[in-house]
Amino acid sequence: MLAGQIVNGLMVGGLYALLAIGFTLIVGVLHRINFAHTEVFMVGGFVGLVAAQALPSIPLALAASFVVGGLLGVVVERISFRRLGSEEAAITAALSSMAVGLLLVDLVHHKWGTEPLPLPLTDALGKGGFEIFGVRFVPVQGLVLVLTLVLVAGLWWLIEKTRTGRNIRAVADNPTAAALLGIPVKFVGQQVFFLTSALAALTGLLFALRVGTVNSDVGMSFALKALAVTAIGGMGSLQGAVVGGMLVGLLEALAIQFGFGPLADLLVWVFMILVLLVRPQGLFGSVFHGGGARA
Amino acid sequence: MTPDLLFFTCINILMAWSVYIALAAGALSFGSAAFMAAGCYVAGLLTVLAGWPLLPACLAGAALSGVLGLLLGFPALRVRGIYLILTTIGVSMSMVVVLENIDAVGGSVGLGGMAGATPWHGAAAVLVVGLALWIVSRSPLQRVLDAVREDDEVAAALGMNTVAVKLGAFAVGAVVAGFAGGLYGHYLSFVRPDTFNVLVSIYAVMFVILGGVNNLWGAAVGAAVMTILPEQVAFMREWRPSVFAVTIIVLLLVRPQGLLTRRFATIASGRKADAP
Amino acid sequence: MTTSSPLLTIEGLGKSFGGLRALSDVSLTLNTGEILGIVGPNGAGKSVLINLVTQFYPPSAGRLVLAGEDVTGHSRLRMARCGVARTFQNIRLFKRMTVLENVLAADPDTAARPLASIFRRRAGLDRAMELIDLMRLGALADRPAGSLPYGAARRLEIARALATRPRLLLLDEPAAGMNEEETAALVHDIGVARQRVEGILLVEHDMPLIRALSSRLVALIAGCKVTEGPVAEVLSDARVIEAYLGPEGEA
Repeated sequence: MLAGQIVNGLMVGGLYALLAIGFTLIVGVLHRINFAHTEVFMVGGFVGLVAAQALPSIPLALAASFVVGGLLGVVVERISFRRLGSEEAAITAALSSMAVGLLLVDLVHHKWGTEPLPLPLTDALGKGGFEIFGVRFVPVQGLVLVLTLVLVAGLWWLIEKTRTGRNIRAVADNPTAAALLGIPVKFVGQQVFFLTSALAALTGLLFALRVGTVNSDVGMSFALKALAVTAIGGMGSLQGAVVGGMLVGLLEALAIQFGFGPLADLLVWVFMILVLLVRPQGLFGSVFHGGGARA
Repeated sequence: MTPDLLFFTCINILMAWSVYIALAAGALSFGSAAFMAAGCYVAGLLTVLAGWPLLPACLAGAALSGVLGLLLGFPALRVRGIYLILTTIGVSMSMVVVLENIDAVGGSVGLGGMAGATPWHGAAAVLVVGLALWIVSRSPLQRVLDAVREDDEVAAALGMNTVAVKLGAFAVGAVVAGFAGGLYGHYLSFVRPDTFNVLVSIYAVMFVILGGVNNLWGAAVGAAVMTILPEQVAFMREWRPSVFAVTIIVLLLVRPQGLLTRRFATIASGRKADAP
Repeated sequence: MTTSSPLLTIEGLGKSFGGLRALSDVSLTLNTGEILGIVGPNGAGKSVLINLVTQFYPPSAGRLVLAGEDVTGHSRLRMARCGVARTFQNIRLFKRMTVLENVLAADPDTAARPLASIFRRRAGLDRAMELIDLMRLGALADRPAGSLPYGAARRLEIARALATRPRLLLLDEPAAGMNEEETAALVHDIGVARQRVEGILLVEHDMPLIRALSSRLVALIAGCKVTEGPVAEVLSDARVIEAYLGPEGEA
């Protein structure tokens, strides 16, 4: 039913948005693409699994995912993103973070195998459900919806209203000037990595809660699309990430609704390719990040 | 060495060379999976449905991949660096979805019934492509490629048609990947679109990173090492992706240009060199 | 002196980057056989001028005429193939290739037909070595270009530009970073290069070089042509002196 599909699309869109925010922040502040982001997302679900097996509490699982994700991010930064420089260093960092992603997947495979596993948290909020606009939801989905909104709003508040956020924006704008103003640029970079990776892992847990399973596949099959979303919205643009994510989520849902389901996955990639070729800065992005794309 | 190992080593060398050829003109592409898929499916359809013999079918598959490379390369090569990486990732992702949606080729269930490829076909392909690359590497064309790769603005200012060079290299890379795909399908006898997912491209790129980007042997060595070595050591066999990943990570930290870094000059003047 | 025809004519050339006006309404003529010097303080638009003539970016206004043919709006490639070659202020050699390979890479036959060149391994070798010897690089022919000392790198850039068999050679501050001795040698080298081309546009800051080589000068200040004429005249123009010796105190 259409309304249900739309709400579903918005929920998925919210998850895309959260992931895209992570990608776009690292592009905006460090001018790099972090390809490990997708697998940190994947790991987030498994951290939740481990936490749940210790104690079936959703808050605990969320906190654990957040912390482990953040720490993973700091490690990734140290391994892959230390080298400074322009284009060649960016490609090296991208390849290195890709390799980190491959490593994470293999480690997960060795510990938990390649098949999806159930996540024993989805019933923690009890059965039953509620209705919005005639669409049925189970409590967990409601939680995911609420948390997505909270996280997007919280991130906005962090970036716009706090000192950390101001530092981040300053470094994104002009690292040299920021350094001259006494802002610890390297530390800000680490903060951004912690933040975005913690967010990615948290989003991964939300995704797992929504589908009820954890799956080592989801980095490639779901999260990678958020990278396309980032490009569509505009590399380095937070509004782009949010709007892009919601838009893609919605379009995919509509595609499914009107019978183009199997092609829904194609949508985001073709859209991204068109954007990169026609308007490289994306819907909202700055010319700086997109303008450098032209050969 | 088992026949399987020999065959897969040959395929991986071809895929690494596919990446290397485009990279020789400066284009780091993650599209080799898509071209491999195209070559495989076209060759498979020709042998299974039209009864073609193996070699012409694989050549036709390779040719079609080349055309696809031209068509996609023309817009794609207008962007560079990380954006080209993203675009070509998008191409590989899209190809899988497209193939899954074409019921005529089996959709997500796959394409089967292909047969006839042997490790000797693989070895022959490696010899032919390797020989061609070696001849080019000692020719003026290599200098043009190197110039375009190193500084395409200056190359254009010196009268080189950088667009044609990049497009040509991209398309030839696609041809090699397409041929490899044809052989691959006819060895496994059954493939699915997911067989050619973006990981195939990523691995191909990493073979080249490992072996060295500055000469054609590097790509081959990277592919051969990462295919053969894990089979010899039990621990590596089990942890192959992790070992590979860690090797790449370490390499990118200490020696980003790869193992075999030497660039071999295409020609010597014959003059006695100045005292250094 | 034979009557010389214009090799390069620039009419009303202008270039803006966003709101920034880099060059305004610049017109000049370079005649066959001459070395025309372009002088001016930093930021005067000298490099922009070279970039426009070689079509690194299109002009915002104006016309370019090369030996009677309107070449405004030609692509970078086409300009190169029309016989315009340049060097770069910050020397852009193909560092990983040897000296000989840098010069060979510029060979017009190879550049025009790269595929056919696969089977002509030694084509252009003699010509390339001749240019290399001309620029006193013979003993360095097999050295990687990235390992060359500054003066030799400069000469290699000139040799490489000459390898395209250009009609017009544009030199972008070739004496930058050179001491007196090196500059004197450069005067000789550019004099030698002059025999191989129909005209040279020399953009330069360094007075001794300009004085030694140019027959005429054009002075650019803040993107506008302020004066042109014989060397001594332009260099004693009050505006030029002030632009150079003014608050910045540079001679």
